Amino acid sequence: MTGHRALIAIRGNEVAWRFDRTAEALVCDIAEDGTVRSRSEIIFARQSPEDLCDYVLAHGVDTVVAGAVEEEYYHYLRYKRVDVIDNVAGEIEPALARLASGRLASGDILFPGKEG
Amino acid sequence: MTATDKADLIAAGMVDLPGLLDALPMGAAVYDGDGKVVHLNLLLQRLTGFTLDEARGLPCRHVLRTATCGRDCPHLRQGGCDQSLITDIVNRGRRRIPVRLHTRRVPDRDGNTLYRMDFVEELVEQGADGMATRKSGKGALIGKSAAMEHILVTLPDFARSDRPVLLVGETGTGKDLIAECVHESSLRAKRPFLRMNLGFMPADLLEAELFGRAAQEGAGLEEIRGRFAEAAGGSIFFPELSDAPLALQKKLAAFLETGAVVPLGAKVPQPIDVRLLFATQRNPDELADKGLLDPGFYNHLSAMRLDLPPLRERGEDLPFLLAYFAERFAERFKKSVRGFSPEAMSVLAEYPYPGNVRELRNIVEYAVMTAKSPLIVPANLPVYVPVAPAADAAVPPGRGPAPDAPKKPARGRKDPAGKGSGS
Repeated sequence: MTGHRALIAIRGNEVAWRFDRTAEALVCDIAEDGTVRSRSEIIFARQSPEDLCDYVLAHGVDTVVAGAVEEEYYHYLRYKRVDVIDNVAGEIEPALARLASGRLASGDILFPGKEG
Repeated sequence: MTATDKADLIAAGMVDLPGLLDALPMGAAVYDGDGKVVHLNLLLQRLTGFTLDEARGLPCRHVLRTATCGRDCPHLRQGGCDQSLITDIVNRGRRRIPVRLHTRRVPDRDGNTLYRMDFVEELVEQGADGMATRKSGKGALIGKSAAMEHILVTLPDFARSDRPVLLVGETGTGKDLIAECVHESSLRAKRPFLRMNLGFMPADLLEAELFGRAAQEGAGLEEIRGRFAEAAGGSIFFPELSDAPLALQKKLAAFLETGAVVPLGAKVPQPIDVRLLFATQRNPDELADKGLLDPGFYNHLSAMRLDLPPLRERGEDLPFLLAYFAERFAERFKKSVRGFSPEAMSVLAEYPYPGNVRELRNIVEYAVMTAKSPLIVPANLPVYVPVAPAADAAVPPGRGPAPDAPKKPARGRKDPAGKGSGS
């Protein structure tokens, strides 16, 4: 199976502004043509970057999307060959749409009127 | 112009308020009633990494990104009253910065909220490892060797358990860090983590210090609460197991058996929920053979034992550790060091690191501090790191060094600075 699996750290209907302060994530399988084949929301028992990292590694996640990711976790995930698209500010759907089309980049600001 | 006239200018909004905010010695942000950014002063732009254009119009939580943003937002709690609190932000450079946050409401003449403001003071956090920001948690454990993979996979299981943990490893292998990581990854993370060095305390005071002491009026002894009671709900880490006298080991074994301690002078055991973490540089089996470890106590510890490999057995981790510390110290010292020259890498690859990761970190800190160019060269390494590869030592006198040998002459080895007490 081709394509990739992404985890978007979320808070409410927004990309989580802090990776270490969220207990929710949206996990998506994205086909090579940009189709989102599946999506599921994960609720963790607590806000824990450790739990998120464990989940990412245990479930073969290729890309993590979040707002602020502290360097320790950023380096840890990168070292584990996980792409990290951080400093993303916006609601979930625009972020997912950009991610699926391969256009999401670190630092993207996606709130209405702020899209670059 | 009179003072009253000048006051009228402020009232009429004819004063350069952005300029005034920029002149403040602390970060300042102005939000509208919906919490969207109206203004960030220059200092806060530098601190967060957002320019004013980027930040303007964004929800404040996506710009300031404090640990309290969200449900604990100080603007929403306590009816939005003015507050001060200590928290942290993570900036766009991925740096966690401890800050003191002052929230203020700016009302109009009728008392309605016109703006909300945050004033942000950067706090300097000086960790025990001397880094500007101390890192803990799994992210601070670096390595891709099989041994480190095993540790990273095992840690979550250790964290989930309440059993005592024994960490065995040479100095500098990260025992303290892993103990902290076990605590931070456990459900006890929000409770105390106490580090208790048993080596510096007279044996007769140890018990009272650990388990507490009831007041004894006749003897003039005051009550001592005890470290176990202080750490209730959390973890206590003992960095050197072999410092525990046998009598204390028996009492610790009794605690592990019953979950209760008996303070000195008390008759009734007090149940306490504390997890015990131990470390040692020595071989615990040898300690047991020599009668320095109580067999009952050792049985409790051996169930969850983790052996930490010395750096010389983690060769594949070396380049990444070097790059990691070089990057961190370059940031700390504000130097444009990008990495190591091939010659320096060759010297560092040969070095045995008796002080393990702590020594490696010290070497890189020194090298980054003394580096004059973007690449660290052998001349930047501390004097006790021999710059000539071991094989060159066998070259007969007069034959000269190998053509690719480093230019700097070999120097005698001194005691490595990285060797110290603790883990």
